[in-house]
Amino acid sequence: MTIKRLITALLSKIPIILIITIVFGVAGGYINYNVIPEKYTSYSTFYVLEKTKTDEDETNQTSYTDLRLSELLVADYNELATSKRVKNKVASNLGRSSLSGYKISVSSKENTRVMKLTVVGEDPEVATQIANEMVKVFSETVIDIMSVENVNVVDYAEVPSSPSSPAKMKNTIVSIAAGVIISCGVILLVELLNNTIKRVEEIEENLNLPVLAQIGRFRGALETEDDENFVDKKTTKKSKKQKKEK
Amino acid sequence: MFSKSKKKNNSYNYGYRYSYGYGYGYGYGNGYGYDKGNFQETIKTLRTNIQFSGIDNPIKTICMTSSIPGEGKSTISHFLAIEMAKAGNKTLIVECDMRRPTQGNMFQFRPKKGITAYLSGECSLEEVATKTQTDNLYFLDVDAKVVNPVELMDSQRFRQAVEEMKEKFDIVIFDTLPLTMFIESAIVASLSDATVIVIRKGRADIKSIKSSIQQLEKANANIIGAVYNDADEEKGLAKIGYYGLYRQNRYGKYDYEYDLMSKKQKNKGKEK
Repeated sequence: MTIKRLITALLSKIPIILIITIVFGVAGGYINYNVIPEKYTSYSTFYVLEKTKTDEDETNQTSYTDLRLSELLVADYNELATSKRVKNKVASNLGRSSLSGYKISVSSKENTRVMKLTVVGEDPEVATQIANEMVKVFSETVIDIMSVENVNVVDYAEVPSSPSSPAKMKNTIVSIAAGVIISCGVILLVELLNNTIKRVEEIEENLNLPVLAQIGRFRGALETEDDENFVDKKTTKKSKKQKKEK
Repeated sequence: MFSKSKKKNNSYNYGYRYSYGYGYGYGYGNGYGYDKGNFQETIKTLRTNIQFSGIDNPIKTICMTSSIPGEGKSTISHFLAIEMAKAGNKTLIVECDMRRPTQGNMFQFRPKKGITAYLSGECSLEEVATKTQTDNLYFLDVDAKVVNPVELMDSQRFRQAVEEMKEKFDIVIFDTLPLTMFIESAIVASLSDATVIVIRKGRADIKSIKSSIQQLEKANANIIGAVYNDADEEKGLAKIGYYGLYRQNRYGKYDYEYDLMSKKQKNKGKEK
């Protein structure tokens, strides 16, 4: 019976649920569409060619350890790409004061040696420029510092047409769902914590008292006889019968 | 409705009027089961069920109590007293709440002498129990100007008083205080033949009601049952089905206010 009680409690409070859901949805939608700044992601992919080994037997075989190596090297490349040396060079090449506001990272696809340089920022064009410029500067730096053979670019960065974050539609739907869940949760909690008596059956079951009478909601009409010394005229209402008699 | 009775009944008038019969949900059921809209009929059901509970040992004194204030026992005891009086029993309704007397409001008069005067021996029961507009109904009130509300139920004199009331009246109804706040009602309940607990929807929680019932059981009170106040109307077929139509068409509308009017008012239109 408690499940039925909870369901009826929820169904009777549908207006509250709707209001809270709409509030959450509108707030979420407004925040997502107007408040949160859009960010664009631009990336370019490159391939780092290791120096050839002196032993000629092993040049043409890519062993498992070589592939594992790329995972380990990603961290190195990340650090290099975000180093001040590379960043400042890129900034000066592009004519910008600094690259703040643009997040730069390097990642690699699993089991491949193809690296991806990602730039996330508010201006898509600038992000693309940074990505492309960064690859050039980065390759020079890597060749310099880590003595690799060459860095070959696979894909140059393209200007992204749509923002990568925030995911507006998804976030709005999530906020609507959160509204529903939170309102339902609160209503159920209030109902479960409510210990008062709401039905006659509870008196009979829980208290073992026979119910002698059930008295409905009673709103008595105030008396209608005119008695000036006695009754305040402002508070009385005339019944229909009295009006008809007059 | 009430004639000005300034000097007749040893009383003075104040307050706002109260009427019942007109009300929300002008229905025709007896309030038990289907239709809970007609207040008057539900009180009649209460009266009948109380009398049924007392078939073996006739019930003369009834104690109306509840667990927390604001559950409606003053209103219910008031109209229960009216219904008992209309059934032909010489009824006395006793107001036990010295701090917040409510029966005076509903009767719209307060007697000059109250229960304190009676218990101290100043007046006899006949002087203090004043007649009301309803025949057979008498009202014993607490004194109007009370400086220090004293626990009057504790005394031995009160027990004697209850015995005297039982001799002189058919039915005595005590409108007492909430049990969780004052222990007086348990004393009154131990002295009465029957105790009725008033429970209002959505007010008291089950724990406090259970503790008040335990308190009453310790006082050896005879709890005959509970009154469920503020009940929901029955939804569904009971209202629109065969039963509903049958009642509306066959029994017509009962105008309780007409019943309460004095003879003079009833004959007002006829004379002219």
